[in-house]
Amino acid sequence: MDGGTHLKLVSFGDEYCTTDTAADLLSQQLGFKFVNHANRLSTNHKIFRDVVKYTVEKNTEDAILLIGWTTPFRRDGEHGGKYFVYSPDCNDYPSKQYKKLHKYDHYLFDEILIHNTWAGLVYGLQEYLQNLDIKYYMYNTQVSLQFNPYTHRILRNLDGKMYNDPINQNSTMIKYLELNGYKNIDAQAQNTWANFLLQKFRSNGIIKKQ
Amino acid sequence: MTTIVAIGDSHTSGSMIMGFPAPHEANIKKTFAARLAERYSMKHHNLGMPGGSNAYIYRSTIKYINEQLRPNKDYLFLIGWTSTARMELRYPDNTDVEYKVGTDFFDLKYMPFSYGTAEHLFQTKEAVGLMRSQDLLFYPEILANDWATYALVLQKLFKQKNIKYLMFNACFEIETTPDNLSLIEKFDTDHYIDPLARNKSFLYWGLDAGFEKTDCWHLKADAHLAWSKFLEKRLLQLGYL
Repeated sequence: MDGGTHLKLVSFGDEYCTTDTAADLLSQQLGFKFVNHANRLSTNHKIFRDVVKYTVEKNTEDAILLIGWTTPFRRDGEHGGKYFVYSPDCNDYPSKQYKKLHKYDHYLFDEILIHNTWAGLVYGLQEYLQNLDIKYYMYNTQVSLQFNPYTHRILRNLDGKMYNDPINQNSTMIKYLELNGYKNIDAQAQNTWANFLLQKFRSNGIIKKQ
Repeated sequence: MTTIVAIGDSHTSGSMIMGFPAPHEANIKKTFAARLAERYSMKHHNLGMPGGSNAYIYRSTIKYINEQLRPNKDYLFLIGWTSTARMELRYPDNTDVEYKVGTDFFDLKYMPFSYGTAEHLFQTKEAVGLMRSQDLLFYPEILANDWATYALVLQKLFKQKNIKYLMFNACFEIETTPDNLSLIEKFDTDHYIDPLARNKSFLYWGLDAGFEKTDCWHLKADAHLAWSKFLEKRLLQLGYL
């Protein structure tokens, strides 16, 4: 892949990936078309489903998928046919009855289970994309994957070249930008993240070095 | 020696075969997977869990591949997908509560959580509270989409790793939705027995064939033996036996 408008960068992720995005800036630097499938308040299960659905329904021959995993402290929800996200720090739901679930958040978001689940989604998706020979790169937007006795073997078997430092909180998008002096994730911050990703694309062989 | 790895729900674990509700050695020996393993002198690891969800099945497959698979050893995975009205939870580590089952390689804190489970089967008030809020927790369309995604991803993963496998439905067909139909159309149906046909799921196949069920809708030893022969035919066609 050397650049050209028939090539595309397809972005998946959460609210940090939906507007003034690093992915859009990165696609401009690469000379690629930009396709945005990120959703505000996504869950990792939704990202997992969206990526697979995209690969099934669209031509991925000239695509790089950029996958921004979100916090695992979110669950899919549906009310009256409309999708929503349930999370411990949210009280804005389609119906106020969902608020009563918060007293069970320590069950719904058991850290061992949610990180084990997330690690499984990542591992499966990496193997899936490799089997289909689809280029991709993964990163975490806000929370790192927990390295613990339940996840360590899966995490050791991940393709670390295609996933930016998954267990390091300082390598998440928002923490990286904070450490680089950004108090808000504004257009400038997104530009810095775009440059970081471009560096990763080059050093990890996703695109040719220039 | 080949190891058969059977992953699924109570049907896979053989609930009630010998009258025991949970995975029990007496039950497990009579399961379809065990009967197949016996006929072909294979080892058998049973990760069937009563109340196990498709999320459990997917996660346990990944877990087994990463933790138990040994290089230069041969494996055959039998994946029995279950109904959608199920999810996974976990008892907090700072409690003494455990969900004791005889499932191989099982974390005793994991708790299967199915729509309609009787409250007395849960060990904490929080679990009971969640069951009373069950209508807020299960979303059939999203769960059907998850199921299709898990199945397709695992199919590609098995192919990528050159691992032998066969998928089937334990009790219900996968429901199609606008978001999962394109995935289902991509299923390798040589390796996934009739995913859209209820009468090709283990339970309904067995009932149609005249095998008796228990009060809790599980099949008995004779049905497991017959299903093992049904799977055997497909595995022979695939060249796995």
